[in-house]
Amino acid sequence: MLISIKLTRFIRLLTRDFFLLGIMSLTFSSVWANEMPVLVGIGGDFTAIDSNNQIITETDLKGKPVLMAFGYTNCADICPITVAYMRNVYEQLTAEEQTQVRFVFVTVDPEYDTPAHLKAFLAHFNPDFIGITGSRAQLDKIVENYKVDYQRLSSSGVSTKYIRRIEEKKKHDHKDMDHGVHDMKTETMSDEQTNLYTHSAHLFVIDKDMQTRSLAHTGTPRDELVVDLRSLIAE
Amino acid sequence: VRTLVFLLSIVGGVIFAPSTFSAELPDWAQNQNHYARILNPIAAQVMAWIEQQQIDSKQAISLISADLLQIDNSHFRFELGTKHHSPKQQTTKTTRFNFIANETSSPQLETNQTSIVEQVNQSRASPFNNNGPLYYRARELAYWWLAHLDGVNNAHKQNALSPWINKASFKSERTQKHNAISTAMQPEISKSGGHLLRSIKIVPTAQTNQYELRLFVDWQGTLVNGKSGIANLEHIMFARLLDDGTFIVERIVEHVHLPSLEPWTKILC
Repeated sequence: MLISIKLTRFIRLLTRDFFLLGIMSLTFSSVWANEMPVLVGIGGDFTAIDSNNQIITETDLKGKPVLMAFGYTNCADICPITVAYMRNVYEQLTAEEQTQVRFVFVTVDPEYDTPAHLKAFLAHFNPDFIGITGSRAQLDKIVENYKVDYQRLSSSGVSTKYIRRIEEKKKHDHKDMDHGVHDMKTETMSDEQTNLYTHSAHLFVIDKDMQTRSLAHTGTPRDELVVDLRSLIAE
Repeated sequence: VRTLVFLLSIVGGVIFAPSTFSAELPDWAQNQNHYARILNPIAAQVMAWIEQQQIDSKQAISLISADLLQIDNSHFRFELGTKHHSPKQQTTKTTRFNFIANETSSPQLETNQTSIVEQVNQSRASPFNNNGPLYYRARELAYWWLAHLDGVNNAHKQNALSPWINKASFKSERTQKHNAISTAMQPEISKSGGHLLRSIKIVPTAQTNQYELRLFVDWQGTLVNGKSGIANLEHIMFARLLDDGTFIVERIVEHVHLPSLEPWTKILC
């Protein structure tokens, strides 16, 4: 039987620089539509500090599916929407399923987002959500692993009093990474300087082996994401 | 969203493909590794032919059409339309390549036949910069490299690879390994899936005759844990061009990029 495959894409591939782009998108989409393939090379080992001020590694997150987002608490743009979206997804799961999935928010602003501040910020949405911060080098390692883009927008600090924030940082937040020395004062720090960032806005849907299996964003129908999480729970 | 993306991909495929291309890949193409093992060696040999044509005729050649047909389980036909630019005229030709392949060997060119379809008395420089022999030599190398990654047995013996394949190093971000190529072909790379070239850039460096061949590649296959996987890869081949036109690749560095599966993937806020 003569099977004819006319590949105009092939022409593009041969003549310009888009060889097999169409075929691959078709192939990928076919896979994408039917299952959740591993996005190879997206993710990897890291060490950082969680919002309970404890060391956390990639290994600590293994064993349960993870829904992971990147952002920062001073973000007045997509981050609150993203975490609210995560909360809504969480609430769509059954109580049993909620214990089977980890919801993780990784800051790209470790200088400002201390563990305690992250914890207070996430508590507005769900106290079980895990915040991840650490040194700039530790965060950049995670960013590199997940191929996340971020860029500091301001070359100098921006006063936080001009930023619409979910949670204003308290003075005791400021020292919670300082060798465990805690200042119990809770005055707000509205006159602080901070930075603004642009960053990737998508969420990573990660399986129990910490392999990225899908991407989502706040426009992804929650039902679809819940189905994906349930299938990863069942694996 | 996935359904929408799937449909958009179909629409995209229809836009870029003639009407005879169906949404269903043929059976032989369903297996990505098998498909890549067929396609990459064919493409590599066609690239070498074009390169030689340019050297022999001293004409720039643009590609204007390409059809790949499977005649039966072991025979493939590749029809190539080319436009040949000379100072006095452009000539359009169609060349039919007949390949034979089986499960254990890569496609071998049996015959090829060229027919002149049209002669156009018009002198015009090619609109493409990427139509010189060097470009096709690099593409030939790229296809053989991908064929080698996919486990095609004789790929490393091809002239495009043999001068350097046993000396160059390969730093793979997928496997987190940095090895000589001969030992870097881990099970998770070789024979576990198929690599397909999406584009290639030839970037001159500050040093004479030194180039970076930047290959943008899609991979699809099966991981060692049995899960299916996809990857969006960039292979940077640090190459030296000899006087005889041979590329000597000294090292290859692999970067993994986030697959552009969704239109919003690269959006920043």
